[in-house]
Amino acid sequence: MDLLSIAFYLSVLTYYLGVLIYMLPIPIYGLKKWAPQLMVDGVFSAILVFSYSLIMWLIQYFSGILGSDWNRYNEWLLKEINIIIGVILLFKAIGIGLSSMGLGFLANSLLSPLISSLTYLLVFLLTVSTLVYALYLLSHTLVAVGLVLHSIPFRITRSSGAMLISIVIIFSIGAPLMPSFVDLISNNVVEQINENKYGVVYADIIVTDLVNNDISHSVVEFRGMDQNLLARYLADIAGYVDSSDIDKGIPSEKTYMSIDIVGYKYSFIITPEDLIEKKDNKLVLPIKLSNVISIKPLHYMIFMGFHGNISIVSITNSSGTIMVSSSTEYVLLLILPIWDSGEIVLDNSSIEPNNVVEYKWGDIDFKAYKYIISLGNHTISYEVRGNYYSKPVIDEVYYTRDTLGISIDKPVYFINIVSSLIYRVFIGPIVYVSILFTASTALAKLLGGSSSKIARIVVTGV
Amino acid sequence: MTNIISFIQELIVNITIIAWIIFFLTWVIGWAIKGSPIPFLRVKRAGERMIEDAVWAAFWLAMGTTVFALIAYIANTFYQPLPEPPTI
Repeated sequence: MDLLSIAFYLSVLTYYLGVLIYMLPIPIYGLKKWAPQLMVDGVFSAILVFSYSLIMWLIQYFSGILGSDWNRYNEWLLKEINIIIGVILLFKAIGIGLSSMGLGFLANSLLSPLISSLTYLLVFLLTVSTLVYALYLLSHTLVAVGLVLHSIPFRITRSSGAMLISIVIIFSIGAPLMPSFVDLISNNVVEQINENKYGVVYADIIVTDLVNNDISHSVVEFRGMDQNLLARYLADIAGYVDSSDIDKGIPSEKTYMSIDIVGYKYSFIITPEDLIEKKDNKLVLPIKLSNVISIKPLHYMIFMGFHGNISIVSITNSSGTIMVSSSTEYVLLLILPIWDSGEIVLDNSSIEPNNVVEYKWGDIDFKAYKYIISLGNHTISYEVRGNYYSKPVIDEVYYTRDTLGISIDKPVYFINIVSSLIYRVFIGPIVYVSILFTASTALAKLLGGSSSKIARIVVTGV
Repeated sequence: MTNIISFIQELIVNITIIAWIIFFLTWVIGWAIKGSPIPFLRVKRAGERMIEDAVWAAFWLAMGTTVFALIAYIANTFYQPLPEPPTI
């Protein structure tokens, strides 16, 4: 309010200076013409000073009419920042993947400049937002300063003051509407990279059983938290999923992971990033299933509903003996291709399965012997006969290529992402700020003169 | 801030005093020129204009306080709460 008092007294001073000049007994036209000018300026400035509350109220009123909402603006800003950061992280992960495959030149020549432009874009967006937000938060002070400048005699800073007042008015009303404008003029190219909220990392997966033997041909799936399929890979005969290929990759953030062993699924929530290890210069995600025994490819023994310990007595490639102690009753499954056979010996006596299920998985016919074993300590021996092997047929879904829609064969895709982001969060806001800038200049002219230089510096900082 | 305000207030008072002095000066000079026994009409008219200006200026000087009080009154009268904006 002190600023307003200063502004008021300055306008009174302007008025009396005008009167003084009016009285001067010097008949010089150049001097005398200031008299009515100063008197009118003084009166106009005083009117503006007394209209301070009205100006602040008008800002609120027009904001309400036009639907300006700072919360919506902040949400939009946060969303755009997240998209840009997501794309930067995606490009970085792809760059690391390319480097580990010996394609570092591609990462350096294509991805690094794109990441730099995105960083500049982020800096621009945050700077514009800080500026716009500062104009809004400091609007009361800035209008008061504008009024003081407007009231200084002899029109020394009149246009600067008018410009400052009009910039605050126009930007406080118009800036929160920027998201609507940007949405109106932008395309939907950016939408398809939204899936990247799960990140990407280029790591292989090894699935092992209770005794650290590899489980061959397991199917590893990743699903988003809304259960949409992100990736599906088939492990090779050695239980190894080669997902560090540049087309493949796996999500790095928290996702659902499921491992399908010839039709029996294990699902859990996992954050691959935290579990990845480095082995021989390669990133590996080790997964151990401690209630599965892999006898040989496509021949498995699975303990379901089991709570206890399993210790190995002896294991060969078609038979074995184990000691099992469980505190609950559980189901033991012996799964084999339909052409092979097997049997279980419980505590030195052969037992018949409670149930046998035949089914098809991966274009191979399987049968599962189901045994219900009581709680307590047991010695279980198993033996399988036959060596049927055929590679299962599974539709794989590559994370980078199919889900993220990125193909390293088409580098223009990366550029498209960046250019659409530039269009959306650089050109859009620049056009909008220019519109507000022009409106501010026009309003400043109404308020007593405009100074485009002041406006440019306040709005753009240069 | 208060110093600046009192400085400006002093300035206003001083200017008002000087203005009154100059009014009398101008008024005297104006009459002196107008009433001088010289046959130059242009000079005499200049003297007349000086008296006119001085009288008008004295009027606005005297009205100064009233003018600003009126502005304050009108501004406060016009700042009536308008109806609420419609929500979109």
